[in-house]
Amino acid sequence: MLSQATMFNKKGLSIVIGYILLVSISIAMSVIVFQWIKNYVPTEEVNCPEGTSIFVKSIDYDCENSILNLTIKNNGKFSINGFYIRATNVSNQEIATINLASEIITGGKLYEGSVEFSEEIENLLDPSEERIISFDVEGHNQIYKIEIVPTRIQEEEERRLLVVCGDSEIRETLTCS
Amino acid sequence: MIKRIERKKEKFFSLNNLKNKKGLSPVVTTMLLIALTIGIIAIIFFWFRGMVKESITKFNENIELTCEKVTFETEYSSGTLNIVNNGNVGIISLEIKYGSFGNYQTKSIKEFDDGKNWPKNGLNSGEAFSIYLGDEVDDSEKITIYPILLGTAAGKQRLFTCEGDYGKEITL
Repeated sequence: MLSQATMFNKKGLSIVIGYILLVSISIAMSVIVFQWIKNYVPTEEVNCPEGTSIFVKSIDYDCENSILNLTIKNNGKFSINGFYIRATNVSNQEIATINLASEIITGGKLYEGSVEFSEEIENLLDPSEERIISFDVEGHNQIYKIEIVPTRIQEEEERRLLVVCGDSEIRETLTCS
Repeated sequence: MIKRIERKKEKFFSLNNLKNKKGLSPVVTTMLLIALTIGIIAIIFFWFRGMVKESITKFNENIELTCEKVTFETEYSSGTLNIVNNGNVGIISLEIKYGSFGNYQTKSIKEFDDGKNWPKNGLNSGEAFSIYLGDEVDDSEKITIYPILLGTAAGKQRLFTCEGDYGKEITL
């Protein structure tokens, strides 16, 4: 009779331990689910602010000496760092694929395949400001078209990134002066 | 009569002995229970992991979400493919699907010229590329170009092809 009584008095786990187990299992499961699901939440897209814009004020293409002079003006609402410039020497080609950034003579500096207006990594061309940039395009035959895409330096997740403003791309057809 | 009493005594004692046997101690039982649970969870986990697609991430999100942010333009003319990356996501490679009348082939862009001209780090933001794909592609009815991105999975670098709607279709 005594042994039966002791058997019935055994509770297995105490209520406190039961609660601790329940809470810790819930926390562990929440952590696992959170880690898995957080990858499916889209992060903010790196992009230039709306209103970023440049335009080519004047083009002077000297075919004989293979010199291309451009006057670039910031006609947008935000300062810009520089631009990507590509050209095509095929008259009917829609997309320009020759990178002219490495051919720059004056007005800027080559930076990660793009032209930047200053050696400092800053957005130095303020709204309404303009710059004259010269390129030596010898070795590319006659250039028919250029594409210019502005770039900005932006702080993203505590890092300074060179952001391409793809929506502000401009295309210009060239003729010999 | 005496025999009956003896038999009853024997029966009583044997039952008593049975009651006194405890089987396993509570500590051993708990340990066994935990070990069994962990074992079963491990088996289910490894079985389930084989069924679930490996999750590749880029920019701290699932790479399939990054595919939506890829912006590129393509142009095809007389066997030459021109492509420009106008977005802010680097394209490590391209997959080109070409053919006609239900007979399609898929090749990596590096297979067309043994990867001699394709940039080593892929097509970064603002970069452009031009490649001659040859007569085989030129005879096709349609070309679809899919970007391939570089992501990470379990600490290792993995390639992911942005298929479906993320491809650019060119009808010849």
